Amino acid sequence: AQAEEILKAVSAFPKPLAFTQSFLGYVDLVNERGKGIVQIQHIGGPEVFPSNQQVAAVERGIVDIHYGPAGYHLGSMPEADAWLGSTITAAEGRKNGGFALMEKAFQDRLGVKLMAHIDSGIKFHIYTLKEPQKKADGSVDLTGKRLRTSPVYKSFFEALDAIPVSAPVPDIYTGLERSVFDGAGWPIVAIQDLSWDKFLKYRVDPGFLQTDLSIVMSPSKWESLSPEAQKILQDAAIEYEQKSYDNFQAIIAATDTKVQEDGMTIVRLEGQAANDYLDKAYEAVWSRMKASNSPLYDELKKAYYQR
Amino acid sequence: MSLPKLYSGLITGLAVTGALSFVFMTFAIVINVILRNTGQHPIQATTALIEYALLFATMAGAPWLARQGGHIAITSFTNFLPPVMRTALGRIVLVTSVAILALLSWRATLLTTQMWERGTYDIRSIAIPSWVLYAFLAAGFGLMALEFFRLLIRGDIYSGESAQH
Amino acid sequence: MDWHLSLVAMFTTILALMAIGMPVAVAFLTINLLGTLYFMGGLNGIDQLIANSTTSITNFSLVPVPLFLVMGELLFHTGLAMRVFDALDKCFGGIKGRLSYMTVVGGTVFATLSGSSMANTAMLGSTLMPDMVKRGYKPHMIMGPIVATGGLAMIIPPSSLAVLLGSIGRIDVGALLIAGMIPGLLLALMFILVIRTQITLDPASAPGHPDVRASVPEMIKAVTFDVLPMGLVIFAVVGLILLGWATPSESAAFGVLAVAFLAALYRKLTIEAITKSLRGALIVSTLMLTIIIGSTTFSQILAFSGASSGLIMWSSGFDLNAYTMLAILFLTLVFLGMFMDQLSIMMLTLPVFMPLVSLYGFDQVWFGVVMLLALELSLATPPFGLLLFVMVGVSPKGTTIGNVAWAALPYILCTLALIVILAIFPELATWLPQIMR
Ligand code: NA
Ligand code: NA
Repeated sequence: AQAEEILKAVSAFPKPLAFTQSFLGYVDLVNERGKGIVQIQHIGGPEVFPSNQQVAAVERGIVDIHYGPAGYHLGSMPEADAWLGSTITAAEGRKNGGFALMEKAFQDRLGVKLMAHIDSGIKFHIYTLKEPQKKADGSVDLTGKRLRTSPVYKSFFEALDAIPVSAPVPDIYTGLERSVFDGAGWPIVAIQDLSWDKFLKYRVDPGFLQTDLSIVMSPSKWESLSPEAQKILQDAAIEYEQKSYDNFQAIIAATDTKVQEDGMTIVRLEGQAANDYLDKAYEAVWSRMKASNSPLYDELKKAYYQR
Repeated sequence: MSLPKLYSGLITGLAVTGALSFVFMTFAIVINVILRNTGQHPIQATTALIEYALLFATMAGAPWLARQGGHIAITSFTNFLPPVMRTALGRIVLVTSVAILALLSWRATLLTTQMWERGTYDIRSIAIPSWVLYAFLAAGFGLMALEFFRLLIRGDIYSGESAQH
Repeated sequence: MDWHLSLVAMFTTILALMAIGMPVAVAFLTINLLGTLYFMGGLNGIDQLIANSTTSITNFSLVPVPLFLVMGELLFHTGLAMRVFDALDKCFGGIKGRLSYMTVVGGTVFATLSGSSMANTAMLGSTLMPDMVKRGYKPHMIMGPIVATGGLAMIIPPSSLAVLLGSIGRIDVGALLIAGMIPGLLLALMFILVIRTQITLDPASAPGHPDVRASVPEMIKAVTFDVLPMGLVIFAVVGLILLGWATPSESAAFGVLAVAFLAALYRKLTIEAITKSLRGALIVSTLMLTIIIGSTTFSQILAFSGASSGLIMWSSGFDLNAYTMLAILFLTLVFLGMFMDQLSIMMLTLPVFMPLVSLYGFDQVWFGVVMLLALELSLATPPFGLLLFVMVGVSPKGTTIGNVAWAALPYILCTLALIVILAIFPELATWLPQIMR
């Protein structure tokens, strides 16, 4: 038999954060099954390579595996929007052929082999300091509100007539404390990690878009692995897509309860208002991909967008 | 104009642009904060442009600073050496610096063209073509290498002691 | 390579490169290249190195560094700083070493509005240093307080480093920010005692100034025209943050504008003053940021090689009593801080340290404050101390890093003493966050 193969992995987020911990679940799964065949060694997060340069390090073969948001590479791979704008689970995407399309996009655009779309199903929400007003039609009125944004949903905030503001993460705490911003967009989990929930007392539901976290691998490394090792990595990836989804559904439910206990009010949009709100969110993302002239646009939308 | 003069003009000109980018940062931030607080839309490009200006100003200032002898070097130990050895060591340091900076500049140039050909973008508050930052590094490292090379052919060594104020 | 060897090889090489007089910025690039070739291999590694460098300083949180430099330079070159000092001369009469005290007080005020130690030190240095030299202060009475007080910016809120520490270490950010308040002020107080002691021991270290105070009307006039208008600068920086108009990173721009505005009122905003200020700011900003480009990547290569995690695992692997363990964690931080940047240190150490913190039953917020103090310290320790570099950059010709480090030494000892005090009286850090809940 061949010697045990050790694969070096890096993550876009520091080790203690919940997302990285979830990735380590995949690492553990592989390491448990791959004894004597294949092992993954997590060598670190952004302290090893800056988050947005990690995929390039995998492409160059300097590390073997990377875990992080596909949206960090929107500038090279507009298809990342398919996951952000996805309305189905990762497992469903794998079944209906969406995943195969994304494999192609990752290969062609970033030069890496896509292994898995884990931690899916976590939606983003708009959080505000003060109670947002509703219009007569039941829609939320965010006109002129300064919302801290990431590039991913900037155009959605613009479509809501809000004022998207970019600010580095360390500035957000003080910014919220002093109402430099009226609110912020953030995933439903992790809102308490930076204590922002001290100030952000309102959450607009429903959530929009979803997380786009990928595990990718160096193609040449993949080719060099024994079929046995490949199978272990592959099976674990498929299994962990579902498992991490289930894990996060539990975390979402727990977070939801916890923030409400801690005094957060949910501003729920209903019926047509909710529908229009989501239309704007998804439209912003899918039209962005369309504008990039991606040859995979139609097929990806068909696979991933089923509202 | 002669080539050396033109080159000197380039080094100074870059430094002036670097310094002016501080003025740009100041006004860009002030304008954006005013727009945001008066309910208008701030200019989305500002954050990204300022982040780029940080690297631009540094790379534009670095060759000029090398010419001024302003990059910090630790001379506490070399000052104890006999002059002959100090000069020899100084020249080794210069040769190494030129080689390292030239190598980095060469690779950064190749990456610049690679990014150009791929046509990828760096997405921040606005999308900027990915090659731009690599070009800053290629030019900055390259010109720094030239500045140290000038010292070398002039027979000087770098002391870093003329860091002046 | 074994992590011991990697660590020793990387550290001795960078030390040697610095010692033979290679510019610090180039020394980092050189070691990075060597490290890359060895650990990552070939041109691919070098390309990755360059890619990593594109992100190292294109970070909005660094904006206050050049802008506070411009602000400080403007205060100096337009003569506004001089006016304030003259006015204070009139009011305080013969208090010896007054400007050293003022550095601490002023620096503490600025620490409450700046989240960045580098920016704070740069600003203090470029504003105060030239005038203090002119007035006959001995260099250590100028540089020591400036380097020391500059570091307070990351202990006293707001502090971008505390926010990052909280988020990476999963410590309550709000509590951590507030917890830094009392230790920060205590440290400032200790700094004042150091100055007092130094002046007693060496009365010639600071000038005596005129012994007699000016008359009351003269004092009122001086304060009204030369000191009070500075309130506008303070307002532009702190006020706008407090009012919620600007973020801490943005406020520096308003500081620049306010100083320019005041200078224009005094008819001192000449082209010459502006040119000199921009030139001075460019020098210091460039020398710092070129070093940061190299040192950031250096930290990354150390992390990639496994050297840093090896050291951290080793140092935390002992079975010891709580205080000894704390001392070891602290020393590890200080050692890493000799060569690495703060953010990298935090990302490397926190995953190992935080579990130990709960294992040993330390209070998380309290430990966060200790860690911030250790990181603050690392900015002022040679050979790689960014605050030392800043200080050399704004100092007169011929000032060496050694000079600055010596000047900073008594203040470094204060920080060490404070950590011991915090170990004995943890309430100094934990009390304020508790009552403010
Ligand atoms: Na501060
Ligand atoms: Na240090």
